[in-house]
Order: sequence, then C-alpha cells, then structure tokens
Amino acid sequence: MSAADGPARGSPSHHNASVLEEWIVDELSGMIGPEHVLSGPSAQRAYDCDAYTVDRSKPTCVALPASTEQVARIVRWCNANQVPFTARGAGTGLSGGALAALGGVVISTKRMNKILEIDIENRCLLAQAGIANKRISDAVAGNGLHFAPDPSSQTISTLGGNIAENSGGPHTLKYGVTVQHILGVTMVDPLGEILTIGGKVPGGPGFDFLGLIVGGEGTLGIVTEAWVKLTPSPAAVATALVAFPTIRDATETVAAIIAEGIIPAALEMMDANILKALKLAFGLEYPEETQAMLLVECDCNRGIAFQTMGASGFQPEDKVQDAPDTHRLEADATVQLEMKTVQAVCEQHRAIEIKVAQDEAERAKMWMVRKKGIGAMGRLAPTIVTHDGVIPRSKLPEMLDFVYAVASRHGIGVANIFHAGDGNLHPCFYFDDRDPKQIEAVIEAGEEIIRRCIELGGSVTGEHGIGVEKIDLMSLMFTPDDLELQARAKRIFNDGNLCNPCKVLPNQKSCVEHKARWRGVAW
Amino acid sequence: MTEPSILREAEEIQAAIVTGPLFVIEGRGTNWRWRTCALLPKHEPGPGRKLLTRQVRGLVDYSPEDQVVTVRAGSRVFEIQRILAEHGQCIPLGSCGPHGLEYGSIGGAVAMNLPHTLEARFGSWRDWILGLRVVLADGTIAKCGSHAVKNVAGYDAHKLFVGSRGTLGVIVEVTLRTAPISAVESQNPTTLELDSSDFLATQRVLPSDFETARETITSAYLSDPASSTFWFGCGRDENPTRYPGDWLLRTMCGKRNLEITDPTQIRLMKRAKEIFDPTHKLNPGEMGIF
Repeated sequence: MSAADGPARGSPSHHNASVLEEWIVDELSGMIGPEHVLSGPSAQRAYDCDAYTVDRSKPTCVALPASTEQVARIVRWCNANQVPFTARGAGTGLSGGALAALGGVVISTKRMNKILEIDIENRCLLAQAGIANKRISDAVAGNGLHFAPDPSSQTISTLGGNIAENSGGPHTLKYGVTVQHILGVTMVDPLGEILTIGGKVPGGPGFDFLGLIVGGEGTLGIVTEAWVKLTPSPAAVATALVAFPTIRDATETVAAIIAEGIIPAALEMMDANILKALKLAFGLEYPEETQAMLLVECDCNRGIAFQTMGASGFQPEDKVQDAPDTHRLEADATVQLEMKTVQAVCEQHRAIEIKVAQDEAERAKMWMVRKKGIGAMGRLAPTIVTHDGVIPRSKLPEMLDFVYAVASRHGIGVANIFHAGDGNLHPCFYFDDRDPKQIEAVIEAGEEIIRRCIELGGSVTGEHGIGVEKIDLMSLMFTPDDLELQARAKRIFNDGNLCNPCKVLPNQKSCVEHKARWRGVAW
Repeated sequence: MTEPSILREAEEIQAAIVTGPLFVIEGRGTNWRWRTCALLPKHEPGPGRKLLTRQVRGLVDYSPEDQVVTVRAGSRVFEIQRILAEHGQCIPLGSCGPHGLEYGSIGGAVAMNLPHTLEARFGSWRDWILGLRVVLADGTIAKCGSHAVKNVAGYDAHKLFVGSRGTLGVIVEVTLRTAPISAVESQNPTTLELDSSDFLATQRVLPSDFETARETITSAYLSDPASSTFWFGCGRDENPTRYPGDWLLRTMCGKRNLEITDPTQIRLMKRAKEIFDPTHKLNPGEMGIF
C-alpha cells in the first residue's frame, strides 16, 4: 500500500523521539527519494527559522518535492499520521511564516522552480511556486513585460513566498501588491487535495478565494503553481534622488507630492543613518548637511485604449515591443512633466540637492542604493532588527519624530529606510545581540512603535506578515469579533492544526503550551 | 466622528437579522436587473423580509492627504464622488453599461462587483477596498482589513464580501482608497449615452479572444479592449457564444444571470456559506448555487 494512505507499518507513536524522526524520514524518502529529504542536526538547525531569527523551532526533517502531486502526497501522509507541516520558499520571510512552530515536516519548494508556460498574447505566465521572483521578470523582459511586485529580496525570494505574504516592494504605490498580480493558483489544501482556483480571466462571479489565499501566510494550503499577470514595462521612466536638510522636510514633501495628484511609481525614503551605512558600503555621495533622502520615480505606460464600438470602430492596443515613436515621445513628455512638478515640490520643501538619473546606469545605481540599504546596515552594528508598521501617510512627520524619541530613550540606534508613499515604515534597530539588555530594549522599542502605528490608524504590518512575530499584536488591532470573522475565513480552507500551525491568529488550540518552547530560543 | 450612530444603525441591522429566518438585502435597489433573486421590486419577498441598508448612509471619515475614505454602505456612489471631487479625488469607477452604478449604494456596488471600463488601468473594488464593517448572519458585527493603504495583518476576509451578493453578510461600512481625478481624466473616459435596455449582458474573455468576440457580438453597447470586456444586448432566450475561461453575467434572466460552474469553486463556496450563513438566511437564491 502507498505510504500516503494511512498510518502504515505501525507508526511508532509510542517510541522515543529519534525513532519517530527516523520513521518520518524513511516514509518521506519512500515518497520522493532519500536524496530529497534533509534530516539530522545540521539540517534541523539550518531550517529552524527564516529571516526572522528571534524565534526558532527545529523541524523533524525537510522535504524537497518536485511537483504538486508530490506535495499532495506528503500532505496526505502528514494528515494520516497527524504530523504538522509548514511550507517554505527561500526563507527570506521576516515574521516567522516558515517556522515549523510545532516541529514536523518543512515542505520546501526549492526544487519547484520552473516556468511552465508563457502566454505573451494574454500577458500571463504559469510558474512553479519555488521560482525566484526576479526570474519571472527576466524571462519576459525581451517582450517588454515584467512581474510588478518587487520586494527588495526579489533576487531570491520565491513566487510562493510572495503569494503567502502578499509581498509588496517599492513599486506597490502605483502598481499594487502581489494580490493584484496573481490570476490563479494550483494549491494543495490542508488535507492534501489539489485545488485550482482562479484562471486567466479575472473578475468572474463567485467568492474571491484567490484574494484570501494570497496573504494567507501558508496557513490555507500550499500554493504550488501560479498564473501571474505580466505588466508592460514603462515606456518612459525618470528617477531622482533628493537630499533634504531635515527629516520633516522630506516627510512633508511626500505628502505634498501626492497632494499634487501625482502617483509616483515609487517614493522611498532613507534617513541619515542609512545614508551613513550606504556611504561606508558603497561610497554613496551626498551633501554633508543631508538628514534625509527621497528616491522618487515617475513612469508612464502608453494610455490604455478603450472606446465604444461606435463610428470610429475598435482600435486595438499597440504591441508593447513596437510602440510607435509618438507614443514613446508622449510618455517621455508625461514623465518629464511629472518629474518637473516633483522637483518644484521638493524645492518648495527646502531640498538641498536634486539628482535626476541621466541614463539607465545612474538609475540602476540609485535603486541599488535603496535595495541594499538594509544590507549595508551591517556596517553600523553586528545585529539589526527591521520592523514593519504602517501609518496614514499624513502622519509620517510625527511618527518619525516618535521613532527617534523611542530609540534614544532606550539607548539604541535606529535607521529608517522605507516606502514613504504608502506610509509603510521600516525602522531598523541596530545593536549588539551579545548584550541581553540591548535585546530587551529593542523588543520594547519595537512594541512601542507598533502600538503607536495602531493609535494613528495604521497597521501592525504592511508587507512582512503576522507569522509568529506579531501574533500577540493582533488583538490590539482587532476585537474578538473581528478575529472570529478571520477565523471563519480561515476555516473555509483549514479547520485543523497541522498546516502551518500557530500562525496569524492568536490563541490557537495546542499552540499556547508550545509557544513557551520556541519563543525567544535565540536569546 | 459619527461613530455612535453608525454603531446604532449597524446594531439595528444586527437586531433585525437575528429575528427573521430569511432576508432579501437591498441597498438602493438599482441593481435589480442583475440580481438573481426571484424577489425583484415588483414582488414581495415570500416567507422572509426585505432588509434595507439605504438608511445606513453618510461619510464617516475622509483624509484627502492619505487618499482614504470611509463611508457607510447605504450612501449613493455619486454622493461620495461629489465629496471626493471637492478634493480632486474620486473612486476610479468607469462606465458599467447603460444602467450606471452612480445612483446605487456603495454597499450594493461592492456586493455586486460589476465590471467597469477603467478596470484594467485602475482596478476595481477588490483593489480599492481597504476594510469593511459587516453584520454577519448570526448578528456578529465585525470589521476586517484596516484604514491603511497597505496592510497584511491577518486574513483578508473583506475580499470574500466583494462580489458576494449579500450572501455572506451585510456590508455596513466601506473603507477605500481614492484616486486623483487628474489621473483618471487623462485616461479620457468616454461618457456614453446609451439606450436603456432591460436585457443586457456583460462578458469578459481572454485578450486573445477579444477580436473574435468583437466580430461575433453584433449588439454591443460598449467594449473595453484593455480588460477584454463587452456589454451587449442579450435577449432572454439568446445564448451568446462562449470562449475558454470566459465569464458572463446577464440581466433579467433570474438564476441564469450568473453561472458558476467550476466544481472546486462551487464546493468552496458551499463550504463558506455553511460557515458564514448555515441556515441560508441571507439573499437565498442570489448566487444561483445557493
């Protein structure tokens, strides 16, 4: 009989842990081959957390299936034997979404990294969940298309992980987050059944389950394949780095640009501490008195053609790759005009330097600086913890004042690099994690900041997710009735406690006692 | 700022909802052509009652600098547009065919989720809605989502209510992001003076089928190549040509107004209905499959 069909060969539930472990590894090896099951102390340690390293929990083993069918087989086996399982992409998640909170099997999508179908005419692409985000855009760049969500981790983070976390990125201000770019998914539900939800034609009648799955943090099943929307790459782009003498000047500029009715493709902010790190790491140059920098990008696609089927008839949209020169010129003009307005607003807010990228190389350099900002923080201190709160954009000036005050009160360093246009803060505390007092200060400062975000009408997380990290903060944002509504939504897919347990919703059955085991192990 | 009265009115709906076995939910009643309930305005709801949300109206909160507005669900779309326009903003809702949505309630528009002509460029309700307050079938009043333009805290339960045609709960408050009017105007949307027709359908096809469909559909009022969507006259007995992966909504054809045929979708919807409204109290028949 198949290993997936039930607790075969006398499951050693009454034996000790190592026997149980050996048995699970044997069973999974039988399904997907021993070379695709990682076990033992080193594998357990390598997979005991994602990029949120504060909480750790060792999985029993790691399975690396190659197909949806193999994932389904593993999940059915886990159900038959009551073994918890947790999906994992590249492990770049920042809230512990890929943490095996109750141990069990980590199901890695690492080997499921293929593009299965490209449909240029319908501007969509089918890929396996383990593909790196950036590879999707690379595959269709020649066609003038790209996959719009661009988290800073995009060179390694996976499509499946982006779907689970509903990832954002700098360009979400204009292009939306991951959910806006997923047309359909193939997934293995928590009981091991393969489901296909959505399709190439969006917006049809019925409940929007796709909108629930995206951002479900891997607790509603394991997405194994997805149809993603491909977006025309902009016909014209202008990017500028603008230096300001104070934080307030920069944050007020953000609100003023939006108030002009402009939706920049990106509106990112970096403060003096980030700039210092970037100077050390990449030799970034800026005026000495700079306290904050904004990266502003304006772009333009050609106008979308739509009209009635009246006298003038239907005029098809132009092919992306051979956009007529007039369209390109129009796009250029639109972008230049927008950038002029942006520059004027910046000048009104006392900008001390405005650098507009003159060519693609300069533009790429500006973006490299933004995307490697967090990485450069390593130059300032041995450890960093990045938070992820959201506030209404108009509250940015007072919120940043608050962040600096909190950090200084706790005697820790803080640097800010974030999606200013969305009001999505990423205060980044830097400290020495060999000093327990500093760790405590960082935790306390983080909670103060998140509480303030809620008080100001924001959210506890803009793009990193709840995972295990913020599970206790959920009740600050939602009433018991609100949480009950979410629990009902979850139950549509997951009514058990095996599929990525102990995530998102607080007070889950069997998680309370286990929490003491993993929370803060790293300290 | 008007928080107490909202709660009171949401609680009125709550008080009503727990008393009856069956309700037909109605906003302004402007979408009646698209609805599948046999209980159209001319008919009196049989064994149940009509639950009107039109009095749950008015602006709750508007922050132009954040481009976020919260309104009560019974407010008419054009009333909200007028308030937003004073600040150069709007809900980027395009034309929805001859029977425009502007006189309808925003709650009704969200619940019906009809396609519109600016969808490809500006998205639709599922993209604009940041949060909802709903009254569930068991009387629970809950909010989902947030007021932040970017938020991944918890499950996006509000997405389930968009297009749910009032079968999972009653929407009482809507928080959504707005768009600058200037961006929408630059798209040059055509305002169409269309003949009113009692028999209309809307169909979305794959972009690769758009040309073929355009040649086939002879009675089109409106077509939007950007989203491959058509609005056309379609008599009760007509059967429009179908295309792979397409979908079709009709008016005045009762249960045939919408078709949900995918077995997985049907199974999941039935499970959701079982969890949210096990006695099938809300808008019975509206989804065709329940």
